[in-house]
Amino acid sequence: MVGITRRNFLKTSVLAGAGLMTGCLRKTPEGVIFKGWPYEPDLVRENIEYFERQTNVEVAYEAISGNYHDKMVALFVGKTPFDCCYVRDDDLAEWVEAGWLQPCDNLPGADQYLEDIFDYNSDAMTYGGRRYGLPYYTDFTVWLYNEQMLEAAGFDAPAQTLDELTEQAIKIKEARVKSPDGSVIEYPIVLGFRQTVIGFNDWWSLNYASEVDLFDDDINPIFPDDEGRRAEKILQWIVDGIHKHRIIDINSLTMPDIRENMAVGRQAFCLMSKYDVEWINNRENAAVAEAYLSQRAIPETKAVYAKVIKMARLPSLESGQRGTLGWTRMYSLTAHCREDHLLDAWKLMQFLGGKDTNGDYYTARRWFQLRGLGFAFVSLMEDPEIVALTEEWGDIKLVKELSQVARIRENIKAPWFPDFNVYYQPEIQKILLRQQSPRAGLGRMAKRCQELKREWT
Amino acid sequence: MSKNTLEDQTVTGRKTVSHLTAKERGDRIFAYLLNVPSVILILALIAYPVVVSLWTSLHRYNLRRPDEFAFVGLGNYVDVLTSYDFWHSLRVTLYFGGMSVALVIIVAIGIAVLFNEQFKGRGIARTLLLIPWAVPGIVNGLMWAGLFGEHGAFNQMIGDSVDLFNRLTGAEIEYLGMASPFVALNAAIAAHVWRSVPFACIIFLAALQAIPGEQYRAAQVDGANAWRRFQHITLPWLLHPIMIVAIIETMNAFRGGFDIIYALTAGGPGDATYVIAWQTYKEAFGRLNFGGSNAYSYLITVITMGLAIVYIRVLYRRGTVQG
Repeated sequence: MVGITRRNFLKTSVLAGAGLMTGCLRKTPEGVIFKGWPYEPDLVRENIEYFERQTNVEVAYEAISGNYHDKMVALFVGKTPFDCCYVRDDDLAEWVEAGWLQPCDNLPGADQYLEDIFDYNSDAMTYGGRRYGLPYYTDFTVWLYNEQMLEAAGFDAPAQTLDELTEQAIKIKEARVKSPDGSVIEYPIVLGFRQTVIGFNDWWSLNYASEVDLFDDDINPIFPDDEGRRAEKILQWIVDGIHKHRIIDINSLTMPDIRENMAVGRQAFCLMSKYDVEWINNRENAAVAEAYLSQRAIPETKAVYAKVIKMARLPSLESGQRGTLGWTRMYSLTAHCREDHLLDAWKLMQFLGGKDTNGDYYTARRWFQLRGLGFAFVSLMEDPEIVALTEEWGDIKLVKELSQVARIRENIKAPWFPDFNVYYQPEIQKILLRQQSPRAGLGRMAKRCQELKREWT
Repeated sequence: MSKNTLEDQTVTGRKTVSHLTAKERGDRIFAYLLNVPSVILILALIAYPVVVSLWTSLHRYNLRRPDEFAFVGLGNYVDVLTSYDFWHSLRVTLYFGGMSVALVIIVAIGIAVLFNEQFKGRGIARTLLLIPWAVPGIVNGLMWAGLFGEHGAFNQMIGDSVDLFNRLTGAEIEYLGMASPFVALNAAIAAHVWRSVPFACIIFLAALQAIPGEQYRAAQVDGANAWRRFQHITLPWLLHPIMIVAIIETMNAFRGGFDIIYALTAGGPGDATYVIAWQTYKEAFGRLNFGGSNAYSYLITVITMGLAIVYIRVLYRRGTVQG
């Protein structure tokens, strides 16, 4: 029997270690490396497979689970090789400033989409005069109301103004309107004021609905002394709604699942992304939709959507004001996109965020058909199939109107937007908890904006 | 037989290198070689990040302006120490840490004393005790978010109790659930304590089993009741384990708490649950201020080390028990 000698042991150890290291080292995939957050990864794969069949370009797709922003930052800092990825408009300024993305407006065929993209989407994908993406999906906030609950309280139309909304909500409380599971609606309104990476979309939406300008063209804060102090009035309306009238659920500060609450009928009103209206009126997802259709003995084969949660213009301080918040999710090329993969990556981006080889907005159309995701293309809004589909769960006329008046956050392109995003959320929550007045809170936010602006100029 | 004699050895029992045979010398080198991979791993995984982190904390370094990497000395530390954010998060952390450490020690001693007694199913009970420790932090946070959420059992229970109190006394206390800064912070503490108790329990159980039984028997003969026995026998024997648990839990409370805050409160309401770990995270990933966030990290290290020294000074000598 051969004994283990020191030399043999060392040799074996070195070989085993080297083997282990080799096994651990990940080989860079061959094709275009594409990363995104994990929304419907199977559908994304289906789209990519179709692209691969059309173009013979290989794609290595990875859905990044967990906190997308933080994980992407780690990947960028670690110089992980990948060619293109999803980017939220919230992150665009940050990622461009960090040198992680490259513009795509100089690539072949980039300009063909320009005229067919809504202004706010085009604006959201531009930074420092350069365009950095093609749209993955886009949407804006709509006002949602439960029509049955509104009727039960004696109203036949949604509120136009915030005062009218207060009146409607109080009536719903007084009428002890019930949800499908029989529980009385205690707080008819819920808003999204939980601290998140994205921030308080509902705050921006309510301001834009009342045509409030929060920043001037040089991104100086106008609040709290904006025209008519409307920003302050809106916050005061929310504070009163929570503490005085008790019509807004205090859990608006903590609730992560507003859509699900609306779907089971715990609330009558909320602000929501337009694409969620498709989900919330689908009887497979929402108890209110299922109850509505079941009461009318409509079988699943006849109808999928109940259209019981209706969309409306956002209530504003004064009647006749129009506006909402719009946002864009885009496909972008990374700064370290491998040179020999650049054109293939651009092909993939065009397929996903523009047209396929047949000249059709294949991916945008498919997302809308399957999940109601918003699109950035003006021409699709007139597509008969899309019009008909929208009418099944929403209101195409309103969708068209809000697409025209949607605005991006005015300071989203400031390099200090991430700092503001971290700062303003606790400040607004303190206002809503009455730890500070709306005026004082807005004043602090404005002061912070000025400091950040000085710091970053 | 080795030709080396006792005279060839140093006072510490080791031979000097010059007196080693070729084989022994080879053995010694071989032993060092065997340690090389571990040393390299330790240097790569621990020492390198620690040094880089310290170096980064001395620089102005925001990922949004990667070209503006400049040495600022203690500038980041001055910025942090003069900011409201740091002192606020330190206050929140001291409350979080103080309450957590105290509750973990009290609850864990209680459970350990109970589980040290003979009873049927003790083995199963001890095993079950470990479950919270095995639960990942983020899952723990989500679980407690469910319990304290709008329709969570704990939230309903507290809300109903407040309602009852209002009805009985005519008071008008507004229960805000997790939107209340007080409830949110204490819910985070509860989640942290729930997860930390098992580890402390294991340490206390091990210590309890080392206490000589004759001390209890002698105390019983002297007529000492259960409380007296606990006070004069159990507690002194537990002082060293308490010190260990206090140090580890303080470190956990300062470094940790992040996953719970992430899942349970997201720092809110307002900045009520901005523990220092959360503030560091916001600085690093919210603002991409890596210079500042590394300064935060080092300040956390200094504070926890300071507290550890205090614990050792206060508890170490008191916990020296004559067996």
